[in-house]
Amino acid sequence: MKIAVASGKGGTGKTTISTMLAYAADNSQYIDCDAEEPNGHIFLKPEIEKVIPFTLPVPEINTDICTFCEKCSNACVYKALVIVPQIKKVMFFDELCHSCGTCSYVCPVENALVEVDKEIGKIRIGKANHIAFVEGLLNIKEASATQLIVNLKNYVDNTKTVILDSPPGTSCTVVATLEDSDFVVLVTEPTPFGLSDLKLAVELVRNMNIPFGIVVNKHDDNVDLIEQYAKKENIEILYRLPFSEEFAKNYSKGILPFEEYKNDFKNILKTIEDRI
Amino acid sequence: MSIKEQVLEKLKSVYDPELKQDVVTLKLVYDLNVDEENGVVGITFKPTVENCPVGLQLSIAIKKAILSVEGVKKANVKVENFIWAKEAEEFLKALDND
Amino acid sequence: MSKELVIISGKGGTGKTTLTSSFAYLMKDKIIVDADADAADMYILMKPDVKKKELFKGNMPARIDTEKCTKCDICKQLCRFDAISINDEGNYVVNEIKCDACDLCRIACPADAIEMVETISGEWYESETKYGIMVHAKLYPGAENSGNLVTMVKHRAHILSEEKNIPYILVDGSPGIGCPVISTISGADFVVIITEPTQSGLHDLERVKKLCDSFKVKTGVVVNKYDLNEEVSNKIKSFSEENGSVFLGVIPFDKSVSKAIVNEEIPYVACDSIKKPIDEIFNKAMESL
Repeated sequence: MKIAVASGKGGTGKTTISTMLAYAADNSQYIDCDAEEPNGHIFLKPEIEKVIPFTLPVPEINTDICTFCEKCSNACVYKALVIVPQIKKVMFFDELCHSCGTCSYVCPVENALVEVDKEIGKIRIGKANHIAFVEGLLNIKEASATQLIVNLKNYVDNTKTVILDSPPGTSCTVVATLEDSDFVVLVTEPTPFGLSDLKLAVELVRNMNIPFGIVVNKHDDNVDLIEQYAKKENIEILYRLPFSEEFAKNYSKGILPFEEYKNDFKNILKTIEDRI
Repeated sequence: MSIKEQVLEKLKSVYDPELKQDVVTLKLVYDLNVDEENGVVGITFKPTVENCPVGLQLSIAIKKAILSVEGVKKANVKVENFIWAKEAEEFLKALDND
Repeated sequence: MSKELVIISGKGGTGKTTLTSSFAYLMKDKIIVDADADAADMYILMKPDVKKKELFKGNMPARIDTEKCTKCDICKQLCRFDAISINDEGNYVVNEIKCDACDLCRIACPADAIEMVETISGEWYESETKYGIMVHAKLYPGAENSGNLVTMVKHRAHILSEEKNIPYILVDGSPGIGCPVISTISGADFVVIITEPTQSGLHDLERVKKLCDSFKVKTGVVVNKYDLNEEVSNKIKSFSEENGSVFLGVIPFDKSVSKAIVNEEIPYVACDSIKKPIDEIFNKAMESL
């Protein structure tokens, strides 16, 4: 069973909820797809067994063989290649390259343009007591984690309950994470910001037609913004985690009350199982 | 149509690949001055972002567009507020001996 | 040339929009930019009166003409984004979300059966607010998280600031370190990173600060809700000072801040406990600009 934990707004508690779900499941795997700012390791404190570099191919031009025909720079939609034939000059900007392979396809001269691997990020694999731990980490200055996240999915172990910790927002990195999950948990907070971004996330999950439910974090009894919205849109609220300063203080130390909430989160997992 | 009008028309086909609009609409080019008799065109180009290499391709595309207009003999494209200005200048000069 | 003050956070939910809205209240002559197109929230506190709305052309994904397609499978083999599949009727189809619009399949298709199709990936707006002109955007759910839309709204702000002779631009950025953030900090004169005194806050601050350093952008650090963990707050302070960042100050935790947000009020206006700290932070930031 693959459960993705997402949210429109950042900082509503995705990592809190996904690590607590992973802890509560008996046979679980936690995959941190928030590759720009992965924080699951802070709470799960895994022992890392393997670190695998994630690379993508980028062009390298041999200017002795290259005939400066400009086919590659004209074909490159991202404008990552600049060729000036008059002075036999070639410039490549890897920060613009999407590793799509078009330049190497159109190059008419053997070995003038070869593709070499460039490290985009790292995949860390390990164990956090009973939880199998996988994490994607995007290298600084890299523009997009999407391909790294798509690759992370190869490490999914379908014999386990798999919890995918998604990046915030609703863009393509989130789509890559949510892709072919069985259920999505949308974490929100009872503020107008939380609600405004929740609506975007609901729209995305409905477009992708994946069953989903809401978890309200930092719940406040006398603020029913999310309750009203959920009722109107008939979306199920799976759980309400009340706000408490003590919880926030422990969170700041990298400590989460895994044991204390284990049963509640087991029940959430059971509810989700019935919905799939 | 004067050279100036033709140049402006041609520049409308030079697209910023990221913003998907032409450099005239985006107001990335200004100070266009044309010596109609001798066919000399001067223009300044300021990329949207000072450190984005796409500006290099754009500066070349702008110069090529101007040079493709009937009667233009010389095109001076000045690139402003751009960390790759040196490279741009070198490349644009290279287009002259075409 | 107008001066650009950017506010980002690395980690989400640290109070970035709270701080930006406070700056919007305090800063006089400026244009407000909400560059967090993926989860734009400033509009809730700024209550903009939209004057101009424009659609934003995003990626141009491929589309296969099933009549012309000879099912030679070349496009599917070449596509590095796994965006081409065979549907139940046996036709080759493109998944427009996965497609990166790289044009390779169109170039390679022997039957010339593929064309690139224009799509709209979001909208951007120019509006008036009580606190000045505002440019903000909305990225449609599922669209590519292009920094391009961020570049557009910032570019529009610069055009407006030159036309109307407005000296400052205040930018509310997005969390993370990906291309929207790269576009947000590019060209900034000063970047304020607001974080929280937690292990996650410190971890994300280190990463987004490294990103700013790589773009040679001056940074300042603010710790919000500092009294939740004074030990980590001090660690953040020393990290900032040891790594060439201006430590702008700390803001105490105050329940009335979220109450103000629930009532859609600017927290600086509604909560006294944070007024003085934010004043100091604001003045220090303006000095560094």
